[in-house]
Amino acid sequence: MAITDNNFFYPVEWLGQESIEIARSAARWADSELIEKRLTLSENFDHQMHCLKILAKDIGLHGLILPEEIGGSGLEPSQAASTLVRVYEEVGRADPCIGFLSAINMALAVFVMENKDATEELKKEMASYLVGPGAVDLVSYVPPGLGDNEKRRGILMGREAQAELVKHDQSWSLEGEKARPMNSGYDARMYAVFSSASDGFFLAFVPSTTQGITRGDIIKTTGLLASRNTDIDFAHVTIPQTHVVPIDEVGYMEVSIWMDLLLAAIAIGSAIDVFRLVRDWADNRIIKGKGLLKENPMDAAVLAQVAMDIVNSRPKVHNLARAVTRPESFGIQDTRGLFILAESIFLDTMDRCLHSINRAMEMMGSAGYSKEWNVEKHWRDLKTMQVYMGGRTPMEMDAARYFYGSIEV
Amino acid sequence: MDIQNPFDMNVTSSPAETYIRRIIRNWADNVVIPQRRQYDEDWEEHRLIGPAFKVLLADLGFQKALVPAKYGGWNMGESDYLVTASAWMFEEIARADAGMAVAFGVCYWPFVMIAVKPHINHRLCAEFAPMYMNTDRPVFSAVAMTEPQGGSDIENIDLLHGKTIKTTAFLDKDEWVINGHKLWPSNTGGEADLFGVVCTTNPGSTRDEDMAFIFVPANTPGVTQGKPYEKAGMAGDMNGDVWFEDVRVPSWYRAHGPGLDALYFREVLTLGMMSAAFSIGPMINVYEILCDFCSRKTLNGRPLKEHDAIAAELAEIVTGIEVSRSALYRLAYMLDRTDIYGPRWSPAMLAKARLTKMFVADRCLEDCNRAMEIMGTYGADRTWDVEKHWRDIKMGQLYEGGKQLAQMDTARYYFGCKTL
Repeated sequence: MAITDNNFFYPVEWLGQESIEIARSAARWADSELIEKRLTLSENFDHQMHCLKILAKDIGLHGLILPEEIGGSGLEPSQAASTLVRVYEEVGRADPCIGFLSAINMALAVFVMENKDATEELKKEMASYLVGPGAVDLVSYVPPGLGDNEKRRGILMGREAQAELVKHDQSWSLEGEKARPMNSGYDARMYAVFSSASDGFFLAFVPSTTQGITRGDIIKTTGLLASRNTDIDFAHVTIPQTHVVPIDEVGYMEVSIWMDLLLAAIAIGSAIDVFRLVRDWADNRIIKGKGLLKENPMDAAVLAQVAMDIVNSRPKVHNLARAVTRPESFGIQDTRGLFILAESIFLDTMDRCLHSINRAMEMMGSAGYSKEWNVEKHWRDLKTMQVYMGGRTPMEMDAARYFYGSIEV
Repeated sequence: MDIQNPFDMNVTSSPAETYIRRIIRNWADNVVIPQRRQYDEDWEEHRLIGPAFKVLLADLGFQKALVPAKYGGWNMGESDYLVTASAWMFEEIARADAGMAVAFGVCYWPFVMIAVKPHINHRLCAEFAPMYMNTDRPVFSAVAMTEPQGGSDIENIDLLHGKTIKTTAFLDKDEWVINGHKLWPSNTGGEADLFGVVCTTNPGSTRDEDMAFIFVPANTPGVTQGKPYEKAGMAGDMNGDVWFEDVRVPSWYRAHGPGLDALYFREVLTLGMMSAAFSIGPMINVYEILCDFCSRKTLNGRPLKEHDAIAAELAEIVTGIEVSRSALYRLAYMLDRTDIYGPRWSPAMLAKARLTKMFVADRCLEDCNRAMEIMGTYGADRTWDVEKHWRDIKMGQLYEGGKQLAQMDTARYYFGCKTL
């Protein structure tokens, strides 16, 4: 607790007392439910889902930004950005995967709750997943991304839709083969499928039990293991009109901004935990048979880099939260500007946090590589999170479009 | 893919290279690659990995390679191409599985002390060769070096000269009595059949004469192997704790004796840096995978490989492989041509080997990161194997003293540093 609050600087004044209390609750949850139980329960799926439920529903994270009339706390999402960053730092400190599952669902919830085209029915259904009784019902995002050479669909900002919608009189039908969700494809209660249609792009919200949906086997992955994923086939899946929401470039950017922000916060928390682990490991370690490792200038330089990467990144992520809350104070005039800021800070934060963790692993040698110390889990989880946002090049193309007016990229 | 794999070209002009590579490639493609996605869950018992090793080590006979011909081996230890040929083998095995390549390489490692010219210990070769010859099961060797405190201090031989070694060996009549605790040797966790144990005959001494390298069969009373560690990757190589409690072996199980053990142990360290091949082999496989993936998948409607920004990244990846490979085989040549470059145990060769391994491990990991990012959501899939290679080759940066010791050995030689 003391580490995240005091040792790595961020603009505390942007958080009110209530936000600090929420973050403290998250920190207590992180320590007691996860960090203290790592040796026996790390990457135990049932335990991770249990902890997610406590965080999301008992502590109430998922209800924070929902309107009060549908069971939430009624915080305006953009006004809660700094609070959420602070909370997701704590979640990332404990387990980036739980943070990832929560963050993707929160980003989708913000999109639905703030979208004028989203129906009340859809909002209530989404809210029931986030704050209803029982376990957390996960929504799985099927984003646009890499296309397939043999099957072409609509392209938005260079990214190809993985499914196609066809409009009928009272409903839509969805088609897609081997669509790859970003999260929880195997366990999802609902899919949010970015789809192309003859007249634009839509986010189709499909309950996973809908006829025509076939899930594959769980795909083994590098990290984020509790986000059990699989490829999904959508064959003549009928979707009511209430569950199809138009999405354009701006809408896609809005979803991405929240994901960039929350995942970057998780990465900061993760790197802070690795900092603590390597600090503890190095604290009384003797080298050359006489001196403390941390007193050796070369080792001290590596340890310094572990910390300095966090020092450099954390304020940027809090700045991004502030820009979400007050874009005008950053000179940001539209969603596109905020999107580019979010992508840039996401990429840089992931790079720096991964660099920090890599340096910590180098310092710890084999101990950093063994599951016992949990450093390698942070390393795997963050790398997975980084590539799950689609990779570096599509983001660089976004920046080229924004700053240079590149059209063909 | 309709282009020939450019990395399939021999790096030397030796017919033996084609022959050896073909044997191992056949084993890798038919035995290992079809099942390697299940290896992560096999880290503890090697139910799948064990039989694959049996084919390589016992059935194909590679466990005999270093042993002199007069004891039934392939006599590689007396070859002028020992290091280069080792690199071929390591690279080919690592293309399929870096963990298995490490385990394979370490099978040879203690034998560098006694089966490599010009310092062959015929009595010990004759003693241990039958373990490897007269069997149809894979036989594993290990170098027990790292200890709980001090990490890479033991490998920091030119500064500490064995000062921090806690594992002791004292003579009792005609037997060594060994006591100590080792961590992380490859091929342990219950797998090792024979240890080369780095110990001291005079704790705290900084005299090379007091450093000893003693062979200990794993079934000697007093030897205990702990359970294997669970790691981020490298399931093909088991690591664990090893305890030696009043372990008694004949006095002539010491590799060479005072002074010479420390001298030739430097050669063990130098040749250990051929582990650079364990990073290059996986990257050659990553290249093969990318050829397929980047032809099938598109960005902005164009096949990935035809997207200029992605093509730039792909170019960086193969540049990394080619340059790393050139560095590796250049080092192998220098280590083989001791007539030109001097003995492998010299500080010069240790430094050159350390910096090569450090460069290759860093560059390959960087390029594997690039590959994962190109693949986006699929980069973290075990289905495509790139993430497996990424997890595996991270270890290449960490073992054998890691990056920091490599930097110190390099600076020490090139800048004449005295206190690092």
